[in-house]
Amino acid sequence: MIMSTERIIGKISATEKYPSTTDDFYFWTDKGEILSPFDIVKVKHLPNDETITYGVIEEINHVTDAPSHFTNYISSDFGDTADNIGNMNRLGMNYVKAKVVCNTGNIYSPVLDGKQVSLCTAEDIKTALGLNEVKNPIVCGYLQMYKGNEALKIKVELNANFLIGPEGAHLNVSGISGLAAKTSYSMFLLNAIQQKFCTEDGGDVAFVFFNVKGRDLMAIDEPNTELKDKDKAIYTEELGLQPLPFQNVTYYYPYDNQRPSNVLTNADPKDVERQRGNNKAFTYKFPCENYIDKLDLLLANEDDSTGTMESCVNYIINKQGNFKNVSTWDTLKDVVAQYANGSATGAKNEILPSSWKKFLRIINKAVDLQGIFNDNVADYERDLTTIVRNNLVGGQVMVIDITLLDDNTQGFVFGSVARAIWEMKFDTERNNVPKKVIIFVDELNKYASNDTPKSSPILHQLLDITERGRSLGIILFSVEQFRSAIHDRVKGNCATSAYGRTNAIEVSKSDYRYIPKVYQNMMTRLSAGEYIISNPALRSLVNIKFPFNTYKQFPNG
Amino acid sequence: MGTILEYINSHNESGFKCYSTKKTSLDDNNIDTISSENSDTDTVPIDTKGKFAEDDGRLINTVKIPNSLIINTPPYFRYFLDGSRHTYKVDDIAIGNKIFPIVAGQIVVGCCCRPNRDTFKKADLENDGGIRKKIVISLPKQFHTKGKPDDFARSYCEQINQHLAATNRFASSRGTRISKILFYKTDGPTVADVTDKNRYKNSAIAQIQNEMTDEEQLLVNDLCMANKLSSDSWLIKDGSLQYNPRFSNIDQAQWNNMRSNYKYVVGVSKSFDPDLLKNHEGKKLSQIIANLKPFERTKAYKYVSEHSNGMTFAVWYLRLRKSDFRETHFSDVIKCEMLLLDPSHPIKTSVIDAISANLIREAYPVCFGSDTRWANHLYPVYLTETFCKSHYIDSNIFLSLF
Repeated sequence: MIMSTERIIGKISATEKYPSTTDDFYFWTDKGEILSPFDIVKVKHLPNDETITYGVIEEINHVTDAPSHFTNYISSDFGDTADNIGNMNRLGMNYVKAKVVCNTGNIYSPVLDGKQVSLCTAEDIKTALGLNEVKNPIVCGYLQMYKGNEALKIKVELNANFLIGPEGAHLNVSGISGLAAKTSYSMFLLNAIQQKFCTEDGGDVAFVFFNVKGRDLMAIDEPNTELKDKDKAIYTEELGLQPLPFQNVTYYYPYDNQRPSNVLTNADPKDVERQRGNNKAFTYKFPCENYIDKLDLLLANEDDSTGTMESCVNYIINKQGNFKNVSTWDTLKDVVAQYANGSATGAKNEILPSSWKKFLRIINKAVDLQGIFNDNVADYERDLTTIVRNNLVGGQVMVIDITLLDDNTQGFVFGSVARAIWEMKFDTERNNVPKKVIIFVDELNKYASNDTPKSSPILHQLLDITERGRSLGIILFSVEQFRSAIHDRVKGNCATSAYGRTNAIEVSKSDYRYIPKVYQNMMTRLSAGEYIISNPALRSLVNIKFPFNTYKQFPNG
Repeated sequence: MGTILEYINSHNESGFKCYSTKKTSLDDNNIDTISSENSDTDTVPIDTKGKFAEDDGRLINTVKIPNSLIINTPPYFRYFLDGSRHTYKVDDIAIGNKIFPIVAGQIVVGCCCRPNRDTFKKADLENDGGIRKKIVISLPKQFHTKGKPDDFARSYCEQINQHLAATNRFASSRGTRISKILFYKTDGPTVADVTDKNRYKNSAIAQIQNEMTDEEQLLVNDLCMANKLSSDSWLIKDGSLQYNPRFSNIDQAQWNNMRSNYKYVVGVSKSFDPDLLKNHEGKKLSQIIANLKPFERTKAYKYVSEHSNGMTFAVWYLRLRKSDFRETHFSDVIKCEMLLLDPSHPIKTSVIDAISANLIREAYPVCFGSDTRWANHLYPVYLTETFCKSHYIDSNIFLSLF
């Protein structure tokens, strides 16, 4: 790590129009000085230069003494495009706006005009951002600052209490598809958490991942053989992590008897068989008798403004009418069909046959098309929620593949598992319930977007997790393309936000209003592997990078 | 009444009375190229027909600076010097049965260096750091009647400074002090027409102006003492080089010595009297100057200035720009001067052409929009002027000292 020389790069400039304030200050610097937004600078401050005020660069402006573009046009001999007209270039300099991050003496009166501004050492930067002596540190990447010989690479650690509770919890990652590497960043963080809490601290954290894209997460316990030495060096030397894949991983594939290996997945059947052979992969099913009380989850995305579907579900869950002895999906369909065509015997109910017809369509669509709604669970197959409730322990990683399921069924799987985790936390009979369970869900917009019906049980589940999960130890790591599309209360309760590359339309939304314009523009230019992080323990937004993932990658999905 | 005037009012030889009149700035912006209010009018040409100050003796009126020379000439000028002063009438004082103005001035003389086309900085000089700043007070000579004026001025100035430091927080914290007390003449040939009601004020301002030109000469001297000027490191001095020793507060011997400092110095004036010189035929140059084509110059003429102890100068006029957009016929013409150390040896025409080509290049970029005289300005000179002006104390603060 190269140490900065604390070189003086300019002086504070406080003018009538642009004064120094409690929040920010301006300084001038040479036009050849290479600085970037997010770089941190320091200024000696009151009393008697005994304290230091740190500022993070927000805007860099280049100005000359030309009052108008017309002046410059004339300076080029009225439009001559030749280079180097005259013996000198116009006098110019850069002026930089920096936001006050902190003062070492807690003095927040504005920095004074004419004070020297200098680059920081690594220690300065850690002090400025609150990265010094972080308790319960979890590596969340590294930041790069300055250019040339003064370049610095600094490990960024977050206090785990502010990432996975109890002080603050939940992470939201946003960014456009492909360019933002959202899943990669989430996995980097989760790997760091597993290394920290499952190796060093005895394994009090369990992980439940939902795989929604290709084979992304279906080999996270296998090493990335293409990981370059320089990336390995970043893991070991810069970040203090082992370049190892996830440990103690179990994969769960949805059952489908029409597909090779009887699993509905994008994974290579050979890989699935190999994982099965190693006792790492299982097929999951939802037997009716265990899930009939979760039928509401199938209606998560259905428009049910009159509440009739909810009435149907309640009727079934309460085992009213002919649903008293229903224990298989086929029987359920038959009985619903009876109500739909008016042939049901016994006591009359108040639900119209037309409502039952609609409900039947939903049930049929799920049960007929998705093989996971199956009542026969063999020994080598698993009932997902039972596994979660009874077997999920600290240090374990469950990867549940839902890639090829339809949207309603994906919601059903996610909702069932989330509900099972919630139930597990209240299970007083188990004595090995993990202290924390981190749920990783991609495409959060499917379950908690602004357009999700307010009655959606999955939305309610997510609101429960984000609003009350922190104290219970249920932590949500969620990912979506557009943060602005996510339900306010869900994203609002995420203590940590990671902003990857996005587009100009997205940053014009109100979610980004508090982010300085320059940073907003930077968000549209971030490269893959680059994030802007906001966390309560950090004093400022931080632009971080992370190395390639340590587990097996499938470039083509 | 402020600190200094309080002291003057209560500590003077004959109990002269200060009137506490309004404090006003005396500066106005003279923006016309054709000027009769500059040093040109104070100098007297000796010959009726112009004699060339360059070695090309062809009897022509103008010389076109070749485009190839403009493009290819290496930069000659590395140093740029400008003097600037602000004057203020701070009060009126009754002496006898007359009322005289008390005029105060801020003088800033600065020199900048341009080592390459992207760097422009204050000249690195040990004595004064490339900038000389002074605050002076110009009082009527009747204010002082006893002893040597210099001794009195020095001791009185010191007393004022002690009073200022003791009573003014700004002055004591910033080390602001009066550098010199000048005494202006209230009669004699240098004082304008007695019917001119501003004659005392102008005389007071002239004293401050002289002090400024002295500072300019001292700064040029510093450059030479530091060996900063050479054949590839010339100085452009803003304004005329025709200093008048009679108006100087420097002693004559030192003044004469300093004239040898001007071998690599070109004086450039933005405003001038176009009728000052005559061409080789004895006709006034004004018509030739007005008709100069873009990047054309007049021939360089010898000019013997009586006011400068009979020193000989080479003077020529140069049009800096293309003429399509100029406001007047003189608005992009500058007057160039060099001191002929040996009047019998004219300057090489190639040198004058190269200097002219360089001056044309120095005219870019322009300060259009920032200075109404942009067409006549040389950019580094404009920057030096801006640098000097940035060292002025704010007028309100300055006047509060009084």
